[in-house]
Amino acid sequence: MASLKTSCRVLQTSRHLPVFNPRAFYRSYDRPQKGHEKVPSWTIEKHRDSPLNATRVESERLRHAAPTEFRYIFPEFLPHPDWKKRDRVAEKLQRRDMLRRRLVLDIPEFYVGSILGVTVADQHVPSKQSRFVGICIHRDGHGLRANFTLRNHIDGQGVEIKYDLYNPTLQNIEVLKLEKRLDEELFYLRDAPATHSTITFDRKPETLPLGATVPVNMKKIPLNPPPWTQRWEKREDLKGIDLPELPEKRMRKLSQIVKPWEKYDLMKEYRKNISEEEQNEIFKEVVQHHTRVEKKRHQERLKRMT
Amino acid sequence: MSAVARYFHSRAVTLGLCTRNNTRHFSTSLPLCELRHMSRVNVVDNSDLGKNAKTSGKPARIVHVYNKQGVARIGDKVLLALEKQKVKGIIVGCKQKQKHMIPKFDSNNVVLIDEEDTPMGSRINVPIPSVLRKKEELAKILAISSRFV
Amino acid sequence: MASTCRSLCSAGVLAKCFSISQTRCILDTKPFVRVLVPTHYQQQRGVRKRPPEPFARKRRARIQDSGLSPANESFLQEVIANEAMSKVEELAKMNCPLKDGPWARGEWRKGTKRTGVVGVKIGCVPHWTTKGKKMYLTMLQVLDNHVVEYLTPDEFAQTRFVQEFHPKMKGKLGAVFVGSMGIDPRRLSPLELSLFEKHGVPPKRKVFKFVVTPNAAIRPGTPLFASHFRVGDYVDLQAKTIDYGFQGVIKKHGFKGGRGHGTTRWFRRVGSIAPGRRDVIPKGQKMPGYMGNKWRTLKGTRIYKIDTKYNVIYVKASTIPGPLHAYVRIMDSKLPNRVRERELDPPPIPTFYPQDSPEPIPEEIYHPDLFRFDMESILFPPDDPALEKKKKSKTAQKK
Repeated sequence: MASLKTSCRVLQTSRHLPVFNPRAFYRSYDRPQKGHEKVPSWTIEKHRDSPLNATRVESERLRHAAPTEFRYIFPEFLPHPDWKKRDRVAEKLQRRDMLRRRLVLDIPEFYVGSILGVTVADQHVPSKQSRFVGICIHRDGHGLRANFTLRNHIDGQGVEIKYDLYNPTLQNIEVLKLEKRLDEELFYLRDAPATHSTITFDRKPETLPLGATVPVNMKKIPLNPPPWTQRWEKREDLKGIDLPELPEKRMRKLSQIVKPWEKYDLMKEYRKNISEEEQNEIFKEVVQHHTRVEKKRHQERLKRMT
Repeated sequence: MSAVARYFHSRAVTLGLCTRNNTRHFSTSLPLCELRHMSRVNVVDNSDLGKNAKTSGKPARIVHVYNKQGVARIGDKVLLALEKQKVKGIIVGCKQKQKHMIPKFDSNNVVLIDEEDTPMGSRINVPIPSVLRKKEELAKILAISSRFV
Repeated sequence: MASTCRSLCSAGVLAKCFSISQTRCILDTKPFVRVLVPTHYQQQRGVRKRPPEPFARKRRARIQDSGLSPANESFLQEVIANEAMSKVEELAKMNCPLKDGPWARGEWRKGTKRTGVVGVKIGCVPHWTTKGKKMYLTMLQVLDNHVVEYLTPDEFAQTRFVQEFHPKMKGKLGAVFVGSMGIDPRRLSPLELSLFEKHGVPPKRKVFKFVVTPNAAIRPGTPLFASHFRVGDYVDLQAKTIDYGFQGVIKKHGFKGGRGHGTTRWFRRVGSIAPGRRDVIPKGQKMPGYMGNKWRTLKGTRIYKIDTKYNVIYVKASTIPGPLHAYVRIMDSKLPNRVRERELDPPPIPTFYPQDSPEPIPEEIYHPDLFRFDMESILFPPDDPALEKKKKSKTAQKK
C-alpha cells in the first residue's frame, strides 16, 4: 500500500485544544451565508474562551489522567463525532448531570453481549417494581440520551426492551455475566434459534475478580434459514455469524454491493472517532467522579462497621 | 478522480468486482413493521379460532384498525379476518420499534375478543406488555394473561 | 509598524487604520412589508434574498490579511482584550448601586413590556419530571449580552420602523437594543463602532431590537443574564428557520406528488394551479420556491431550569426554529393567559440585577416538577387501599 501512504496526509491538531477545530477542511460548510442568523461553531467556542467574553467561566484544571479503558467503560461520555452537532458547554452540562446520577445509582461496566438484570419502577404492578433480564444486544446514544437494549426469549416469544441509561425510574442495573462478543451489535440474534437468546430470570450473577480482563465469547451463532430481518451476508464486519449456504443468485448480487476498500479508509475511521487529547480531557472528569464514589463507599463501609 | 480513488478503481477492476454499481439508485427506508390493513398477525390466546387460523396456513389479517391513524399500536382494537369470519381483536405485541421501556416482540401478537370485549380464549401463554395495565377496558384480557413483561 | 500600532491604541482609531468598507446602519433594521389582502395569507416581500454565489460573496476584511507581523498581531489582540475588559469593568461600576447606578426603575403596570435577551441554541437534552415522565429541554445560552442603546418613545418615533410601519407605537413604546457576543473591533466599520462607543459598550457581534414600554427603560451598558427570566416563566422564542434552499412543492408544502411507477412523467409536480378554464391563479398558490431562513416564533414555552454559572436557560421545547448555534430572541410570552399570569406575579423590571438579591444566587435553579439528578431514583408509592376500593366500586357501577 505504498501509494496510499503518500497520498494521505496526517492532519495537524489545532492550537485551540481540547476542542478539535477542523477549520481547514470544513470551513465552507459552516460559513454563515448572508441573511443567516447563526454563529459559526468554531466562533462560539473561540468566543467562550476569549478574553472578550465578559461572562467567561474558568474551567477547572484537572490533574489526574484517565486510563485508556475508560473510553470503553463509559462510551456515552464521548460526544457525537460529527463536529457540526457538537457544543462544548452542552456536553459539559450533560456530563455533570450524568455524573450526579452515577453517584446515586451504580451504573456498572457492561458491554454488548453481557447479561443484565434491570429493575424498573412500574406503577401498575402491586409491588411497584418489575425486573427484566436479558442479553445486551445494542448500546447507543451520547450523553443523557444513552440507551441499551436487552433481549430475551420468554415463553416462546422473543422480547426486546430499550432502556434509557439515565432514566430516574431505573432502580437497579445488575450485571449477571460480564463478557463481550465478537461484534458491537447482536441484532442477528433475532434470526438465530431461540436458545441463543434465552436467559432464565433467576440466573445467579457471576463475578469476575477485580482487575481481570473482560472475557470475549468467541461463539459463532448459526442462523435460521432465510428469510431474515436483514441481509446478514452483506455484513462483512460481523464476525459472530455462522452463515449458512445461500443460493448462487444471492451471492452474485453480493459481489456488486460489497465494498472491500472501506476497511482501509483512514479518513472514515478518523471522522468516526474523537481525538485522543479531547477524550483525555473528558475522562479526567470521570476520574474525579470515581474518587468521589470511592470516598462515599468507604464512608458507607465505615458506617456499617460501627 | 484523485490518485487514491484511481488506485482503488484499478484494484477493483483486477479483482473482477463491479466498478460502478449497475443497480439504479433510489433511497430506501428501514422497514417500519407497522400494523395496517391486510397485515398478518399471530393469534396468541388458546381460542379454537386462533388455533385453526395457525394450522390452516391462512393467518389472521387485519381488515380494519379502530383509530384515526390507520396504524395499529399496542393496545389498539382491530377487526380481523380469519377462517372466513370477521372477528375483533386487541394488539398485544408489536414488531415495530417502540419507545423506551416498552417491549418489542418478535411477532405481531393479537388476542381475539367478542362484541362485549370479552376474550374468546381462556389463557394467554405469551408475555404481555405491562403498559396495557393502565387501560381499564383491557381488564378482562389482563385477567387471563399468564405473564407480564 | 510596531511603533505606529502602540501609539494608536483606541479601538476607534484602529478602525480608521484598516479600510473596512461596510457601512451598515444597525438601528434602522430592514422592515417587513405587509401587503394587506382580503385573503388569509400575508405576502412577505424583501424578507430574504438568495445568497450570492461563492465567487460573488463579499468577504469581511480578514484580520489575518492585515499585514502585521505575528508579534504586532499578538500585541494588538492583547490591547483589544484589555480595552474590552476595562469597558466591561467600567459598566459594572456604573451599574453598581454604590456609584451612579442604574436608572430609576419603573413600576410594573398593566401592559408592561420589558426587554428580551439574545441567546444561542446549544442543544436538546432529555430530562425527567419527578413523576417519571420524559421530556426534552432545549438549552439556550445567553452569551455576553449588553444593552447597547435605549431609544425613548420620542426618539424611537423618529425611526422609519415606527413612522412608516408601526404608527400606533408612536410616543408609547421605546426600543432597547441588545448586543450579544463580543467581536474584534477591527472587523467593524467606523459607523458601527461609533454606535457602541456612544455608551462605552464593547463592540458586539449581533444586535437585536426589543420594543419596550417606557417604564421598562434600561440603561445602555447594563449586562443581561439568564436570570433576567425566572424558572416557571413562559417565553416566546424567535429564530430564523433552517435554510433548505430552493425546494420543490413536495418538501416545501407537503404535496403528495405522483406515483413512483406506472405514470407518464408525473412524479413530484405541482399539478393544477387554477380552477377551471379561467386564467386567474389565486394569490398564495403554493409553488416551488425558497424554503426556510425565515423568522418564526415559538410561543408559550416554559422555563424549567436556569444555570446562572454558564447563563443557560432550559426551555421545554424541542422544535425551536433554526439549526444548532442559531441566535434566538427570548422574550416574555405574549399569549393572553401568560400575560394575565404575569400581572399577578410580575418579573423584575427592567431586568434582574445581581446586587438586588441579599443571598448569593444559586448556580442552578430548578423547577419543583423537574427531577434533579442528585435526587434518589423515582419510586411510585404503594396503593392506598381506600382509593382502590373506590375505584372498584366505580367500575362496578359503570357495568
